[in-house]
Amino acid sequence: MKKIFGYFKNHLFYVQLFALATLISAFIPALNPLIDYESGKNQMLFTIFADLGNLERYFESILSSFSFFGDILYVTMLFFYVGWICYLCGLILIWSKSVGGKRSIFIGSLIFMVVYLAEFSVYYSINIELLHNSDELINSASAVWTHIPLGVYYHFALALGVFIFSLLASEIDFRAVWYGLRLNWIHRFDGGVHPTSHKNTRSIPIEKLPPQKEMIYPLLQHIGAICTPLVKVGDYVRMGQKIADSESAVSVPVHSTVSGTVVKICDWDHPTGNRIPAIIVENDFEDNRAECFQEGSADYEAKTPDELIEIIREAGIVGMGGAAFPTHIKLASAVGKVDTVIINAAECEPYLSSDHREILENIDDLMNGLRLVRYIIGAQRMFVGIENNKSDAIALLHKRLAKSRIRLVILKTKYPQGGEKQLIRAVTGRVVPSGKLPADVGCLVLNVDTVVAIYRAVVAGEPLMRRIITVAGHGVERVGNVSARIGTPFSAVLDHFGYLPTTKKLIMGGPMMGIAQYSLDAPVIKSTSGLLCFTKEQLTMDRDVSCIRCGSCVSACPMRLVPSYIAQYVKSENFEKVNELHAGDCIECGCCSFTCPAKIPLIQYIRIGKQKVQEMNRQTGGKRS
Amino acid sequence: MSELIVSSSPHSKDHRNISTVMGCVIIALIPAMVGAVVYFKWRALLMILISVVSCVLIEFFHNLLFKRPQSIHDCSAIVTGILLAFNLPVTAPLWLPPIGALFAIAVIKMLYGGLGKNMFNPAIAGRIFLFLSFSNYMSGNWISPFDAVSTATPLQYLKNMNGELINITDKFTVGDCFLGNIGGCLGETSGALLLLGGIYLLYKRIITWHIPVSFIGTVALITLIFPRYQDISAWQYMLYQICSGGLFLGAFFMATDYTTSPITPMGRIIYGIGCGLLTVFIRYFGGYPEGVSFAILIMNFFVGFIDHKTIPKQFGGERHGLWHKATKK
Repeated sequence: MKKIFGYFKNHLFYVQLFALATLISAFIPALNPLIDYESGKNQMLFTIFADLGNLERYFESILSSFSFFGDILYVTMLFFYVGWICYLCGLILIWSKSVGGKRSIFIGSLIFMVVYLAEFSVYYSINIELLHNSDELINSASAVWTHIPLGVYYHFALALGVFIFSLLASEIDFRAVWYGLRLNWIHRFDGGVHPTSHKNTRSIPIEKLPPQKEMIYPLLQHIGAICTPLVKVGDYVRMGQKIADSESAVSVPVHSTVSGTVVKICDWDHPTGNRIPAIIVENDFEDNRAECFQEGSADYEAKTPDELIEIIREAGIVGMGGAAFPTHIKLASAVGKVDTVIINAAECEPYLSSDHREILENIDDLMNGLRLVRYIIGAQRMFVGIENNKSDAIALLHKRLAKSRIRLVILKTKYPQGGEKQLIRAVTGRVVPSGKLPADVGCLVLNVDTVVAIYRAVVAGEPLMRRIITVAGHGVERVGNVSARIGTPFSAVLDHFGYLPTTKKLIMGGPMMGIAQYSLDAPVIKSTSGLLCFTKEQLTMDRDVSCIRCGSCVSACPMRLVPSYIAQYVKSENFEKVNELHAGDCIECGCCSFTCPAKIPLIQYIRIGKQKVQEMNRQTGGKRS
Repeated sequence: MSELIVSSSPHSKDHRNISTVMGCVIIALIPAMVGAVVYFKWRALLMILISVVSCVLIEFFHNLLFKRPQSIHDCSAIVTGILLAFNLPVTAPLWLPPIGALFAIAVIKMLYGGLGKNMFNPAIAGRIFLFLSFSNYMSGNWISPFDAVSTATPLQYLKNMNGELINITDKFTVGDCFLGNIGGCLGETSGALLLLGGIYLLYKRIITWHIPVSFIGTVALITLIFPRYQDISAWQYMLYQICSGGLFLGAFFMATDYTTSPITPMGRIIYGIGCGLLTVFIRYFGGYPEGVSFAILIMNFFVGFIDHKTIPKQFGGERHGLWHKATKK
């Protein structure tokens, strides 16, 4: 009894029932929705059986006599056949226990709903016409509806039933639908491109790379002033010891990540393409820790935010998203001004998966780091912005953030979703005014890696020593993620993954904003998020042709600039005009160059224009507009 | 160790280049081409072939003559050739397409500096050149599809027969106009097939919605508000107007020509509205029943001006509109 009752609670049963009823009653003349309003002849049976050999004439009649109302009935009839076929296929699929049956019936019911609405409108207008022509004095408002054949009402009810029950039976996750709507219509920014993501490394766990014999510490690993060495050649340094620092406000110290002897201080290849002074330490493989490790304590609430920010500076922490802006300056300028903290887990660059693996493997440190950042900033609202292609990380964060007041915002996979201004726009809807900082609209954006580094610096007393790097591309034997100590030469990282001499281009960072390397001797620095080895077939080396004015750069630009015009003015060295077109607002994301069908290196022209405009403004002392 | 290449970011680029873009346009034109062959028999295909071959050859020899790098591989000459043929009546003599191609490619496109530098749409300019120079071949001798009986285009009926007692619905229905069962140029008759191609272009993101929607929308709105034909309703008049006379061809394939249309979204809308207004004005008050190509040619003059006046405000830029001035105070 209970089993039978349970069966009647099954939505799918009603779907089948109504669909079957629709199919059967199509053959009952009294209930047929396609009865001709003039002759009373059953159009469906007429066309299927009597007129089958004459289909050609039937279609001709549709094509030649498209009078407005009469022929909508003919057209709807075609849709009836489609709907019936959908129902039939759906029932067969359900009964043969195949997939897709519910969807088929659902589509069929959608078609029927639309057809019946059209049918109603046609009958309504025909009936009004008939009533106007007849002399009978009928109350037209109700008579119009009673003149519609019973079959239309009957079938409309059936279609409605199938529609509702197949919606219920389909187990559509309405929350997912809502997320999808939010993704596309609310949490969005203008412009952007959709490069192929190539994130094959996201399921590979992070490996640990042992330190090398010779470690290289460039004195400039951040945006700002270059550091001066605090050690001399021959000094013994410990792991985590500060070896270089600067008096300048915009600067962070450099630490040794191994223990050993300083053997050389000289110019060395730097990932940014220059030769910059570096301290070279010979490793003794003992990892003797510096005293700063004892200073960390889990009871960070005993310290004031200012003290914590000083600890973060001493730990040498910079933004790990790629720009490497000193984090303590960001935090110091944000305290008291900012009401919203956004954690950037978008990782929109193709190939890279280091942030993704960080979330999956170091979720505890990340969660504690979020609490710590909230304590420092005192912000009311906290968001974690993540792209919807990282489903496992989303699930994990969803579980862990459920009880906290931190909200997870799922964003569309689109480049440059992780750009600071784009992320703020997508998550909060606020627009950072041109030439202003995120703090001016009350926002602070921190990378996932940065949050973890802050937590470790405060609680474990550990300065920024490691960096998770994604190694990918056809130029290595295997791909993966590796946790390497800062100062490891690229050659050591790449040899760990089997570097192939077929590599034509080595990129530090992602393919969109990364920097091409000329030397394998350059070391891992604080902003190294990935090392991509591209072979010849992975490179697009087309010659550029003249602009065809297609406007794809305009629609791709996330800053709403007009890259093609800026490039033209840079070419003609009209830098006044370049300034007027707001080249200074360019975030150098590379969307314009990526999308250009004429393969013009637009971003290069804009970079030149930006530099020239800055020089020009410096000379004239004029304000940047 | 091999040498490493150093270059500026981005290091990976979209696979789309000019040839693939033009290839998509050619694919989008195939339905209308098939329609032309079905309606006007093999002579239509012959004319398209002659036009395409002459366009490509003229560009090839032009490059040889002026010692310029060869540019026929970008396929833009093929698109111009197809569009030029689409704008000719099927009864036109076979020596007409090469003459049009000579003017369109050699004068309008290549003398200005090739693809991307021409001021006017080559196909439109070629058509208008032929229209003004050989008007006896270019207008007046329309034939109906399938049976090739001499007829007139719907727009001629709508314009000239206004005083007489011939009802246009007796000649063509709206369905005829939409499907292309009317007299007219090779490719412009079938709105449905052109719409199919246009939707393909929109789907492939080759064109944006701005120009087609604003162009057709403007024509629809004005013809709906100011119908000029007594016997049919305003709605029917509007449908006749937008389904005939190459409006779909113009709106989806000619006005959206990259080089001769604005690049800013707002500029595209203004350009489309301008094309629509001029089309209706020429159809209503001009000497010709047909207005799309003249409208696009006239709007081509304004493209540079529109572009410079509609540069979008950058993201986070200060807004200067009247509304924002009013709300700020």
